[in-house]
Amino acid sequence: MTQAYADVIAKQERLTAVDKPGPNVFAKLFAIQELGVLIAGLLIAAAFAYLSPQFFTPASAGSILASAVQFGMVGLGVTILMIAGEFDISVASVYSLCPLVMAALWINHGFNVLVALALALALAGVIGLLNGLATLFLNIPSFIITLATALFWAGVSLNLTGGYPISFFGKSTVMQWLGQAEFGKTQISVSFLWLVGVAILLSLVLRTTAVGNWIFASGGDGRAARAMGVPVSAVKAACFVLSSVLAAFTGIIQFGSFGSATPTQGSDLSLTAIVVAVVGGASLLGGRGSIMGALLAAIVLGMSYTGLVLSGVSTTWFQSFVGFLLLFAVVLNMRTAGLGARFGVIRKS
Amino acid sequence: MNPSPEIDRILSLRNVTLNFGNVVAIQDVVFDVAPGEIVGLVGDNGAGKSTLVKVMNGFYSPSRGDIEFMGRPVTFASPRDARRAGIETVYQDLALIPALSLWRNFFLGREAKIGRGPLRILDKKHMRQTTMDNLREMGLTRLRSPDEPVDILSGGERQALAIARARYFGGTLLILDEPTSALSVKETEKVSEAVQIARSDGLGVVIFDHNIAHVHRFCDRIVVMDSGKVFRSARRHEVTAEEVADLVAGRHAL
Repeated sequence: MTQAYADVIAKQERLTAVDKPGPNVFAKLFAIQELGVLIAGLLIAAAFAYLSPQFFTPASAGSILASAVQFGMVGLGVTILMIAGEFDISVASVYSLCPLVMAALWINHGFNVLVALALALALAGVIGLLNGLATLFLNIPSFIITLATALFWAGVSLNLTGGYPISFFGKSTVMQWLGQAEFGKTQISVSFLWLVGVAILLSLVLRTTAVGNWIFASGGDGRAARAMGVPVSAVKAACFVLSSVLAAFTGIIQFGSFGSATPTQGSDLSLTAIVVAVVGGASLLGGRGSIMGALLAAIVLGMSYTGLVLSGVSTTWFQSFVGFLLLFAVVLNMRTAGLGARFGVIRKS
Repeated sequence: MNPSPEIDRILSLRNVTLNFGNVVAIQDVVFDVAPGEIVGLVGDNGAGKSTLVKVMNGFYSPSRGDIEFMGRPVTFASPRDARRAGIETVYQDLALIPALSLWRNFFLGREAKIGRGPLRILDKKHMRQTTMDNLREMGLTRLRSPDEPVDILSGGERQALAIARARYFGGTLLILDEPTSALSVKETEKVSEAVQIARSDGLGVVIFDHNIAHVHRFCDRIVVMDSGKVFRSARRHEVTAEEVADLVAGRHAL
């Protein structure tokens, strides 16, 4: 045992001894994995509430949650993929391509709306699978593979309609369910329900199933996971499919909400999705991350967007703000984890 | 399955040869491991010891010769196959995932579940408890919670965890790949302790390592390989560590 190591042990034991009497609120607080993003969210909410009296109103809540859906649904898929140790830069292209395909099949070619929806999601699944297979079999980093496919599918989107959007002006139950409907008298869109539903489902899979354990393991150390009999390639391929399908579904929800699918929409969403994952606690190296953290991060981004508008700042400053937020949240995540560890707090896994 | 008393050898290789094309990787190897025996496998780089280990754990099928495991002739199709039969290999750098917690590592790939059908979920309570119990038995008493990440473990503790895991999942033959490389004396002691506990359960242990001093101290028997053949097999009291080192270095002193 080296001296440095012995010192660490001794220090830990000392701190534990101090910590022993009763589980205190402090320890419980620091055991929350999403503490960093939670603090960031509260600080930002407080700042905007101070800057704009309209920040805490139902209309504002509706707007915050609507943008949270856009950032969040894509971010959830990317979070799981990043936990599995891979990236997907093509989500933005899939986000614009798939609703366009759905709209073209449905509106221009007379397909049943649900069939068009299913085909658009299936296309996303195939795109995700190709990303996964290319990454795993060509043995090229997924960042490069999906950057290439992102450019390719963005071009397909532009050429599909010659750059024009496809719009829907009628009334459709499916479109209502996808995003136009609001809860009773609130101004919260039904699409937020989709986000929360998907988040709960994914969180359960990740934390309470064997597959969830394999996802963490595949990203933590793929070779070691394989040596323990985990089907790492299958796990990663499935995560690529998931991230792609969720990106398509987000785009389709946007189509449902606004009635129009545009080939160029959401072009910066790939990086925003990574921001959501990282602010929520995901590691760029894989093996770590939290679905609930990503959900909170998406809401924080939604608050920032709406808050900037309400405070009279131009939304052209949004990206700058996101850049600031990213650093702020990452520092907070590290500091809270570090502080927690120093006081001997153990987070549940 | 625990080794039954009537079996005198856990693993027995008879004249095992493995060719890669025209290249003879190992030739006519005779190798035995008895219940509760710790066998050290040493040899210079390229002597064939890691190939031999890969034949034992199902990575390669021998070109010629017979393998008996627990008294029955076997052919393993894959390492997975061998593991299912009870041959657990602990690779130095492939054993654990640092970012994951102790219990998630302990049960990785063999998770305990409750419930039925598609609703089968992890039995975390059982896995947490089992992990802690098994680690304590291995002498890892400073750990406070099964939710701590493997990150915080020292090298010796990591080896002990991997050995505890192999033992818990019914391993009858434990193969350790360089278990003490890059470990301090005190850490090596922890690994030694864990190996002794596994041995006292009647497991057979094969250690292949470069550190001849450690192998000599750990093992009941030492097998020296050279050019794909078993060059010498000796009980510990029959040779000194220096003599083994000379054998490995090719100065055939004995």
